Amino acid sequence: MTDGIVSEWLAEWNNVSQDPHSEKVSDFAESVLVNEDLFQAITHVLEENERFRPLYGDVIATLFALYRSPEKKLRLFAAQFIPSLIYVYLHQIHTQKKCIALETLLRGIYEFESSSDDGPPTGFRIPNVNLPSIYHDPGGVSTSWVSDSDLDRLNARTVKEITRPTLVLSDERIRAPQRLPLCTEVWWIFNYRLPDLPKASVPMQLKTISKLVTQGFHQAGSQSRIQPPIRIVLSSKLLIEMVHTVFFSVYNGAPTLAEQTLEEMSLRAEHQLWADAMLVCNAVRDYLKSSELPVQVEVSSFKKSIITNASFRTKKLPDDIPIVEADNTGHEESGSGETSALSAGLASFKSKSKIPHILAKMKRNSVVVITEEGDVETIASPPSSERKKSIDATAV
Amino acid sequence: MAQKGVKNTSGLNRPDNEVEAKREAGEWKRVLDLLEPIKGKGSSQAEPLMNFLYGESKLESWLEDHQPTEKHISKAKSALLDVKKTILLCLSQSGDASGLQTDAHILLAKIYYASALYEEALEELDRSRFEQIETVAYTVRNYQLMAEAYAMKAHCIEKVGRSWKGTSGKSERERRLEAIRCYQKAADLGVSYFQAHEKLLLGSTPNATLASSSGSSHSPHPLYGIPPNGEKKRCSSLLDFSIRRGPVLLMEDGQVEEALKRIHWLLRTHETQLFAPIRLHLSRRLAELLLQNKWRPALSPPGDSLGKPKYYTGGKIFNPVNPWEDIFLILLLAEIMVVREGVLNQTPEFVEARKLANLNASSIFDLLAMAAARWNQYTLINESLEKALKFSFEECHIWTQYGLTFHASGVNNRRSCQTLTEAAKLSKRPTSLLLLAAQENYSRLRVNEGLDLVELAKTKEQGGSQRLMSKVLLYEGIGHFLKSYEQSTTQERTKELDDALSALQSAAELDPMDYLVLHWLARTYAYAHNSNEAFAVAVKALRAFPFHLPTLQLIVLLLSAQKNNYDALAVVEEALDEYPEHLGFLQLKAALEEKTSGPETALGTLKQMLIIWKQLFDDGNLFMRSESPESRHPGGTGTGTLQLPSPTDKESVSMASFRGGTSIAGSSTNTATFAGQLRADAALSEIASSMSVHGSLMQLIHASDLAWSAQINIWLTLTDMYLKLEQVTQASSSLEEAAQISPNHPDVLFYRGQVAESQGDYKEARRAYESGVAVCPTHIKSLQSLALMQHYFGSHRLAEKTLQDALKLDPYDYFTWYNLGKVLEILDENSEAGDCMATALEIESIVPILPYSTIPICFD
Repeated sequence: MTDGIVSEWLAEWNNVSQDPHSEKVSDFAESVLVNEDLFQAITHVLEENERFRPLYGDVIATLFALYRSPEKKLRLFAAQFIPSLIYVYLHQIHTQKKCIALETLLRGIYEFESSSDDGPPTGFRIPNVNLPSIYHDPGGVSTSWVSDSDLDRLNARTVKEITRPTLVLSDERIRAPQRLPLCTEVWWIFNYRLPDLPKASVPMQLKTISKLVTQGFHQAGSQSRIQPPIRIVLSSKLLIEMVHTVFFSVYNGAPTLAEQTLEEMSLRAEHQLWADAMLVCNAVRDYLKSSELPVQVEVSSFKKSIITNASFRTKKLPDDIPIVEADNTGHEESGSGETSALSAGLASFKSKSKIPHILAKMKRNSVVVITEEGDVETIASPPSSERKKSIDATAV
Repeated sequence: MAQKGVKNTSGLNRPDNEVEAKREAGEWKRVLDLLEPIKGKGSSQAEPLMNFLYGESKLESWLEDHQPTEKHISKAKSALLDVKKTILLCLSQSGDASGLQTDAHILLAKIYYASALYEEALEELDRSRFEQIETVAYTVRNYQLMAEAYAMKAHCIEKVGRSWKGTSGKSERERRLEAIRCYQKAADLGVSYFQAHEKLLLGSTPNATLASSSGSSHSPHPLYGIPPNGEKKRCSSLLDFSIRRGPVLLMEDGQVEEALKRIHWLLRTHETQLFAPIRLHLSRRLAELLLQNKWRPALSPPGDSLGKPKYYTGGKIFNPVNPWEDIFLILLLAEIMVVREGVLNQTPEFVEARKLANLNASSIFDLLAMAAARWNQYTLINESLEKALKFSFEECHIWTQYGLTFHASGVNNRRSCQTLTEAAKLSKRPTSLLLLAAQENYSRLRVNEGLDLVELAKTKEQGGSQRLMSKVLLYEGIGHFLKSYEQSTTQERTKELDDALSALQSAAELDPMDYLVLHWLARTYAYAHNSNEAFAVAVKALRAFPFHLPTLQLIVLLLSAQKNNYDALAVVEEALDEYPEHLGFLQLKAALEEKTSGPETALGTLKQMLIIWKQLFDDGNLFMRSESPESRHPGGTGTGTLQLPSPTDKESVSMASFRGGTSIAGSSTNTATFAGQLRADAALSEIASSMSVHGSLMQLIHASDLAWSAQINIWLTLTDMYLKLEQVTQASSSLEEAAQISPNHPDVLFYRGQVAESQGDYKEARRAYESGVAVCPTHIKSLQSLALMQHYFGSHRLAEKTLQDALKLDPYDYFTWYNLGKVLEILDENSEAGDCMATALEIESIVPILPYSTIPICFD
């Protein structure tokens, strides 16, 4: 059954590829992309490659050809098999089998996509919420939270740029340290293509993911087996990419299976004690839980007495902090009433004046006052009580 | 419309304006108060208007308290009868020309809608002919009424379904499209209403703002600020619902892109206080959709026109050019909103409000975590979650995530540990969190604290699923193993190793497939000098994970301990084939080559190491390499391929073990030194982390430290080789290179002694060894050589004492035994000397080429 479908597909492609510019190619692409049986059959051949030895090689070669084809739909068709390919690949390198064809295919996908124009973005700017954007205007007030990195961003550049570290495959050979990163990159590409892929393949992808994370972890009852299957070595980043696929699946055709798979991944992340993967699994799980709630949240009129961060007023400080002049000592001795009157006069002038820095220039040896709705903060305390009085007068 | 009506029939003068103003502001109770005294006093001409205003304000103030939802339907039916009568009366009194007709019909529709009589509502809406009105006086109230009319129409179409006669003969799809159209209209008008309302509010309270802020007035910004009167006004649930519903219907219709565009435009409208809750909801929806859909650059929203909302536009504003910028922008803005809205009250009466706010908050943080994790931006999530802590008292999820972000971003200090432990207290699945905290403690050499946490995890696991029991036992084993370093006597050390062994053995029984358990079991066997058992287990570990570097290193060392140097070299060559830049294996290779084919070959390998070091680190930005932690995966990191300072190896431990190991000089087997150095490093990291709030600096220190100590080791190994080749000049110039990096490093001092010795300058050598011991009293190699010098200078008893000190530190150093034998021989204690020599021989036969401590401590 499987053999038949796959051989037919191979033969048809051979036939079509003779003339790459004919309309036949796009017809072929159209038909294979919607053919669910074919998808399952090829997945079957890939994952059971021992049984389908003769077909396997051809399948890999053909997928490679399809991926490089100028016809976009053929590329999408080939992209569907990325999870299965990665599963087979990781399985084979574990058992230290030679899998040059498969490795070349994965590398080809990676290099093709990183050089193509419509590949996934390689970097982005982290928006700075203190600068206006198409969604907001920061207004005159900054947030009450300024983190270290905010300061960094404000100091150095306004917008921080993030780039995805590129995987350099300069050698002809792919060595051990590059294998898992390569898989991660290819899966990243797969995730980028996900929205365009046929939804029918979603359950199959989930099953592959499930195999990747659970294989070799013995459940009750499987102890009787003489040789348990190997555990596939993963990296936390690859797992995070897989979580994204699962997140997508929740909304695209397989919610129950997706949540089940998510649970399995979460167990694996815990087993490996990968904090980053645990973080993401927790996030998705919690998010799905919270979105089960009805869309319409009842609008309740909250009472005024609820305290939120918004209850604390954040206010922009004046452009220049007004500084109250400390009068020279001789003046002070001469009489406190005069001083306070003068200060009050100054203060009223200041509140009208829009150029506090001119005032600031006149002052030396002074006390800093931040007026905020009557609150006074004196940073340097004045020497005499009289002066304090004068400051209070200023504040009012 | 009504506006017109009011102005034309100016029967009542002064109160009229005030009524109008309150009406615009939507303060219906005030309107009622104002109407009360003049009721029935006006001219008959004004009566319809009076009735209208009265009915309207009655209705609106009732609806303010009773949103049209399921549970209010039956109440509405009875309570609104009165109002209905008033409005009907008004309708009958006023003619078509009065301009009250439309408004009155819409109000009637509202009554029907609130009573769940959707068909009647539709009929009323039809009668009002609100859709035919082209030019409306755009007052706040009119915006609101029009928006509500569209919203009701759309909602009623959905509710009534096929039986609505307005759509008889229309297909379901057509009905849905009609509903979508109405929802969109409602949304546009609704947002315009919010904006007009906001403008009105700001205009009406200029005094308040001015007075309070003494000149530096600013608008209460909805994203950051607060409404001027401190009271929170919410928009009606009808508008709220219809604005959200539009995009959902579009999605159901399969028009995903259109839906995205609509949400996008809604979010681009000028911020208002009434819109804020809806904005939050839409932000969340949009981020969720963008995470799983194709992204296109946003089309600019339609330009300003009357009846359309105002949008943020302009050339200089941040405009996302790819999906990630869009997602992050939306989420960061949403984060500001949820942080501001988080309920801080802990009293029971606010439980519901708090729950809702926290739910909103955590969903935003979840999305942020999903997005940021894919770009390795754990510090960003960490900072966001930190803000959430203020309102997340005993919220398990937020605390767990907060703790995990520390770990994920590579921060390891007291704070991160405490957070994890705290999260574990709240969590239903605390084991993994406790183990992570234990791991952090181990890495900072707080082994006892770590073991306590493991113990706690054990209790929890015994009461729970037992799924992670083998991991718990593994960490118990690692804890005891690390503790064995801290012990100064062999007895205590053996005891700890025995404890480690028994824990690891039970772990291996529970999970015979776990390579990490097997690796640690093998390593512990090796430390306990049971190399046969160690070898067997290590092979098993390798079968479970063929590329586990620490296991490979262990195997090489075990082979060399069996004096099977050629096989060991073969394994090294094979490993180097996969990891050509792995300094650890190169170092092993050099050591093995020296044994198998002499120091000349080893020299070549060492030079190669220097070249690789230069490639890896000496690119002018040594600090940049470990800015973000590499992915955690076992057996080496990504592109860098440097095992050495891989941040996953938990900085200090691996650094020390590498430093200790590479120096063949011998601090390697010197466990006391090892622990001592670790302590210093741990202390350093504490200082670093308290100095800088974010953890990156700490990593910088470690990455560069590791790199430099690696270079020291390479130079010193070179020195050693040259000395063996009797090329003293080269030896001393290599030594100078190392000394330039760290002149007081005990290994550097030791080699100074060695060079001096080879030049025959024994006094100088003795001085160097003495300084070495002074810098590091437990430096075994220095002690050994110092003893030899003392011996040469005739102080045999002193030499014996020094050697015995060295033995106390490490009884498994054959060179100490040999020297002791020599000293005792001179002292004519021949039988003891013989014993010592025999012991030396015995030990020498099981000693690996480099100490086992060269293998970095690994948790992966």
